[in-house]
Amino acid sequence: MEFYRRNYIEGLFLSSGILYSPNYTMELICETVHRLRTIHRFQGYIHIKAIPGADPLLIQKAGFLADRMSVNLEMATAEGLRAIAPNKHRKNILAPMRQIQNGITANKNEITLYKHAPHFCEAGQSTQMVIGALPESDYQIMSVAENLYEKFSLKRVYYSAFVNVNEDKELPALSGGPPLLREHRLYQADWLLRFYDFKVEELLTQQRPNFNMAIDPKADWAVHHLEQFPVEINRADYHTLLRVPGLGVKSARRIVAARRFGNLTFADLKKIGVVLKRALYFITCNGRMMYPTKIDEDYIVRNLVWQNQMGRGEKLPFLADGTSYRQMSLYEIPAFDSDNDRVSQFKALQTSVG
Amino acid sequence: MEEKYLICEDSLEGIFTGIYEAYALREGHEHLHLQIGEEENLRLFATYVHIVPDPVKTDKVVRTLQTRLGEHVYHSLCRAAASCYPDKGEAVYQTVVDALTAGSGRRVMENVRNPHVARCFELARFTANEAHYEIEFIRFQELAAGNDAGDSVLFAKIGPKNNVVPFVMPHFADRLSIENFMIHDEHRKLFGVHPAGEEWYLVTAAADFLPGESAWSAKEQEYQELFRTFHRTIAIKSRENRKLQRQMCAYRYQDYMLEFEQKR
Repeated sequence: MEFYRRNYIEGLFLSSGILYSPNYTMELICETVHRLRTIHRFQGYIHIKAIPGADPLLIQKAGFLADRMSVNLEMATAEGLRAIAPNKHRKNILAPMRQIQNGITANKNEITLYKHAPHFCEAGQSTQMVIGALPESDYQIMSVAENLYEKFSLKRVYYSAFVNVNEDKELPALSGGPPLLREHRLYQADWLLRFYDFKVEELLTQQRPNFNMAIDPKADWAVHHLEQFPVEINRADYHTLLRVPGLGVKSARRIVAARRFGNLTFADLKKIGVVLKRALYFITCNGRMMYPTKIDEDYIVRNLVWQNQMGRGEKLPFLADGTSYRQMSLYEIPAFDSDNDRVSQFKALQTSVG
Repeated sequence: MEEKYLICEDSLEGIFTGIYEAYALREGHEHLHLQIGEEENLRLFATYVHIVPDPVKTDKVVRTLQTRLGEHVYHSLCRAAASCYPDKGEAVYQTVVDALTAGSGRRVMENVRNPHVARCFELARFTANEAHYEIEFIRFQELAAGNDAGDSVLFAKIGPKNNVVPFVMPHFADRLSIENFMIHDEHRKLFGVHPAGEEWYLVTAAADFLPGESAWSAKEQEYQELFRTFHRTIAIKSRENRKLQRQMCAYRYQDYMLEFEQKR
């Protein structure tokens, strides 16, 4: 309480391992939240874990007291779960998740009817998956996430890179720390699912089950679908704009709003916040590209990767030292003199014009 | 035609009075400029007019902006006017001209093709972002009761680039409605004051009586220590990432946060 008063904290996160039985643990959590809300009058954000296997009534009760509830899925696949946490069953995890979802929808209907009906998990529900502990592919993980968003209407799925707590021969030994870059790529793809109308099948397939570590998933998708590019900024609809690398939800919205007042130029795009160094390969303004560039997969990938290696592209805060780029060996392309490439092209163009 | 500069005081009132005067001149807007504070390099072939802030004129401008452009645009203009950059006067003024005279109206903030609107948008966004950060990063200290009733006061010191106190106060007035609290902007000598259960207000005062450790309440030291310990122990060692932390919470905020005090 004193922490909250001093603005040290915004809310609380209550979690627990199972003590005696799921029901007993859930009851304790319920009791704690109840006390916080009624006796201490805590108005802040409370996020609690629903314990798999607990009585639905208890979960129902907790839902009215907390802002967000979550059930951890832990492993993307049922087999994985069995291997790592033999006492957790997928069915047990999904059951409370479904219940919370139904609770939220029922509550929404209630609130439209009675304005002052108590709120049930106002901030929705979320889950967490551990990655890198078992050899599941990104494709499997993302498909599970997509399912969760669609069928269980989750607010968010969290991915956490596996961190060794105790050494075990069953657990993989991870040299070089937790797979943070992979976690990052999964989050990037997760955003594509939730805000950019992408489907998992578009990003990954059974044949290509893992993300490219060298470039982000959106750019990766774009270079494999060059037939849809370049996109004309002043004409393309919102959904097409969203798919251009270097354009985000905000810049796409701003473009759609701003072009009502007239045609946009590259200078305007820069002001809007478009990342031109990535977008320039995929867009035209008034029928022109920013520089004369080839629309060619190898050429674009090489340029994007080269930017990354020069530290001018994507900002990856956990790749502080150059050595960790070893992880990127998937697309091992030497830093070509793409600038010279561009200059010579430009010269050729000039001579042909002049 | 000769360029004309209206020199305004660095405040919302100053800028809005300047806008009022600019329209009152009825000379068109192409050669009119709004400037905050004195110019070091005076221009040849330009006239300068000093504007005295006037609450009545400010009110008129506020009402016009609210009714004709809507709350959303009005708030953006206020945020831009609270910015730390001196070109804010010109940006806000030209944005109002774009909206009211050039006719982009309520949609004016979307017209980023106009460089002044783009600048105004940028300034407003900076202020809004900083206010948002301060809402998260402000750390209150509890001061011992100054009266017999034993009412304590929560006090926080911040050093933002923009004038964010007016935008931060409503949030805390809502959250801590039953508390006495005070937020102090070190750079502007500005206090946001909220007496328990009442409306908040702003005071400008020389701050040579700032409360130090001696003014803390009995429990304050203990809670600060508790929170530092909590902050130290909650971290997962293998995921520590200084660079990312600095991206999320810049050093200039960390200087005012008790959990970071010792490290730097």
